Amino acid sequence: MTRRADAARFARAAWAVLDLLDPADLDRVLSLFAGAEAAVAAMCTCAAGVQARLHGNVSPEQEELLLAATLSLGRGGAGVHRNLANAADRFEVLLRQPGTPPEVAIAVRGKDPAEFVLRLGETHHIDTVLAARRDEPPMLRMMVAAAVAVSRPDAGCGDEAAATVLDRGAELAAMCRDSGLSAPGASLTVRGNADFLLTISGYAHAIQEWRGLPGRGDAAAASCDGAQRCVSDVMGRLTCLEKDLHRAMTVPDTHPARRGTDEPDVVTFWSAAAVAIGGSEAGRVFDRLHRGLRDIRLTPARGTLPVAPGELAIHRTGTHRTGTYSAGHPAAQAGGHVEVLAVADALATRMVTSLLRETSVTERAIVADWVRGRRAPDVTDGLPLLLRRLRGLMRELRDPEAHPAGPAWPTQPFGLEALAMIGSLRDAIASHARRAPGNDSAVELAASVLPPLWTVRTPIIRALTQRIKMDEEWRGWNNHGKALVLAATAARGPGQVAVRASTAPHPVASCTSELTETGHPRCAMRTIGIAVDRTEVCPARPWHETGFIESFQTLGGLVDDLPDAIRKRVDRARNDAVVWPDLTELDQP
Amino acid sequence: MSLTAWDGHVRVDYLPMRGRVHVTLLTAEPTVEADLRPGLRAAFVDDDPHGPPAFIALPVEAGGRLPTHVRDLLGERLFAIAEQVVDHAPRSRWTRLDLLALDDLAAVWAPYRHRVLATVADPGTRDAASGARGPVPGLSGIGLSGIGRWANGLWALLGVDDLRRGLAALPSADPVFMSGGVDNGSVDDADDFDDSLENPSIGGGAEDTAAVAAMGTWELPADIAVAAGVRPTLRWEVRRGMVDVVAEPAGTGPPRARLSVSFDDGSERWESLVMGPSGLLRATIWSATEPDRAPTVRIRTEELP
Repeated sequence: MTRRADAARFARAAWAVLDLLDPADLDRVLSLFAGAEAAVAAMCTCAAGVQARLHGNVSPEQEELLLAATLSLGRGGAGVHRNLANAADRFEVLLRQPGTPPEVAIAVRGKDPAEFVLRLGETHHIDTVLAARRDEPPMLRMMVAAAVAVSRPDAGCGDEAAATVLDRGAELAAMCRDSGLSAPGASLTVRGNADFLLTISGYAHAIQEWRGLPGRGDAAAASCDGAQRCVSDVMGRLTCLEKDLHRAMTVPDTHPARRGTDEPDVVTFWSAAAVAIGGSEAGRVFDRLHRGLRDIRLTPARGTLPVAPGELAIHRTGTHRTGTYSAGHPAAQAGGHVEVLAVADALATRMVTSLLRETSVTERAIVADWVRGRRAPDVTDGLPLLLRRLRGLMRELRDPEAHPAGPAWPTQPFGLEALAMIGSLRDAIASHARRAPGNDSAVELAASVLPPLWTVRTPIIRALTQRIKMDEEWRGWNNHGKALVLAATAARGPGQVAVRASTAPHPVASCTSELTETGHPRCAMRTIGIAVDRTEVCPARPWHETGFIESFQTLGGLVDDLPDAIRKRVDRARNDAVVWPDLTELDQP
Repeated sequence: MSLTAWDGHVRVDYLPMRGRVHVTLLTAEPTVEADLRPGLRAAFVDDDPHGPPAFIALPVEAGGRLPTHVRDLLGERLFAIAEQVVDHAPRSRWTRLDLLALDDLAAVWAPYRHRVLATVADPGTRDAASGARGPVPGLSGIGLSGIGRWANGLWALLGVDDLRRGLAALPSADPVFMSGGVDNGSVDDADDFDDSLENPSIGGGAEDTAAVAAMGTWELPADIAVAAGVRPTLRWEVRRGMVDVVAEPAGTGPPRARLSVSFDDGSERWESLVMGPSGLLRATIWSATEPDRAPTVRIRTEELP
């Protein structure tokens, strides 16, 4: 085998491995290099070194494991191993557990005992099986899976045991809720929710029962005495959890347990909760395995985002300056059948490239589900991610010159899915273009084919408002009015604009009106199927309709403030809040 | 994970020993909790003026049946799950609600939420440990009228302070209050209630000639008044220990909805306002509680077919 062929295959494996990383970990690795290519090169060099130490004994199936071993992702920092011995150690650990799936392998560190790797694998297995059958929140499900796996790593049937624990834990939480908490949350010294802690403490007790009394379930607890004991035990655990929460929420930014000053306090609590349920070993498994645990921030960390490309989206009243993508395309001049397909294909490819650029595999799955219409509207999962990708895409389409398409993030492990995304967008664009031939710009075409993330706008604004308050709370930034204004600017469809002017809303004859919290009328729902002119402001614009959706005046109506005060408020908020700027930018009229 | 009630992770539990169903929306947000009426308890996120209830405790009837009005309170989806956990094990089930279902749930509970959150709206009463928090406009704002919206109409809570004072001021010789309503002249669960036998027409819309012992008014939320085609001022009159609720037709054409009132005491007895000979709409309700603790009065509209 030639050295050059090795290098090419290593590079492919390296891309695949980077693809599996948590967004936050990917970000930490990439921030050390001039670009993803440089990181891949460093990984390949390290892999070649390890291979040389092993005298060339790396089979093709082991390549991804080898490349995974070149990364170091400890608490202290992340990067590519410089010390070949460390990478070799890690590779050896991985080889000892044949059949470890790559998404687990990526979580393995050098010096991990074989048993620990086995537990990671078992937890992953249990969690995957349960996810297909049950409706528990994913975070809690994985904590219980880890707790079961560390107790009986090789017993099999872990999923059935975990299901039993989940049922019993919920039952216990309900029982305690009934008997104990007259004023839930009264004893919390930091903001939080006692029901939430009680749910965790129910699972913790259920694990104990399951470990102590395998095979005995409800019968033991049904007796009154037993039930009383359970309740007092769960309540005891609740007290400990309250302390954990308090500790987690007051960790100084500079504490070694924190990955950075921009990591929310509550992250450390999730680890504490996993420990409370399954013990310290389960806590370690959960920490390693839980994807996205450190990605609870809304923004990707600084390194990942392409440097804000000059935010040029400019709208002049009356004459939208939109992308010249379709008009400028040579094929568009003729306008025939083949040409429509060619334009549609070019636009769809550009959209998918932009939506997937520099996403991790988990993020990509969320984007693909949405674009291919497999995602139900009106749910909050991955919503901030999708809004962020959507805004980036629309900025590119409005002003393609300022945003050259650039090289696509290699989509190899994802190639088929990306092709399918392009295919479904292309067909939708083509059929739209045939239905309404004429002067549709790239922005309008894109807006007409991207599946709606919501069917009614008001609930999504309400949900985002609460989410923003949660996200920003740990920065001592919590203000309902400010969050509401930001939520309303963030919740807009593909071709919709929050306009930087005091434009009054359109006459509401074509919409039903509702009163805002502060008593101002506001469009609630479109009643007539005729589009409102795009330069009129209508907060009830349906997802696919392009045009102005908010202005300083409509935002002011939400919080009873004057347009000028809103302008200052938005600008200030954009400076204060690390999380929301790229979602809440307002455009020039 | 920043978990809010709007993420829609819901657990429904049945507690057979207590005869209760719990509904818990998993959230990391702090909540305020209160007893709403006998057997009904709920918690709301303390700074979300539009949010769904984060916790609900509901009574289950003897024999393990969910009262039918629970369907109104929970919506079809949660009601179906509640029936499952009441019927058979496992006694707890998780499910996921989307934003529209959550918004509907929030709309049903608006009057209760409004009342519970009003207790924290005053910044002076807030826990200092929770830190400086901006005002929540909806909690004190005029726009949030506390109208509930459920499957076939609207509902609201009416003020009770004047009514309590009026009832408490009655001479003690006045008949005791009893739970329930007067329905077509017969009394369901109070066989020894002689008044109704002497005067079988009360509650049927006829005018009662007994003296009015106390009276006052309620302002109806505009949407409810419009739907029912009545003037927004509702009059209450206490006579013979019972409360007459009287509305005046607005004269703007036939009403779109029927108007009913009830004491919010857990009995779920709604009395429809019926047109009497004098051209006024009238219903009679009564409650068994001590006058100074009379339950809140609820009013609802039901869309006419």
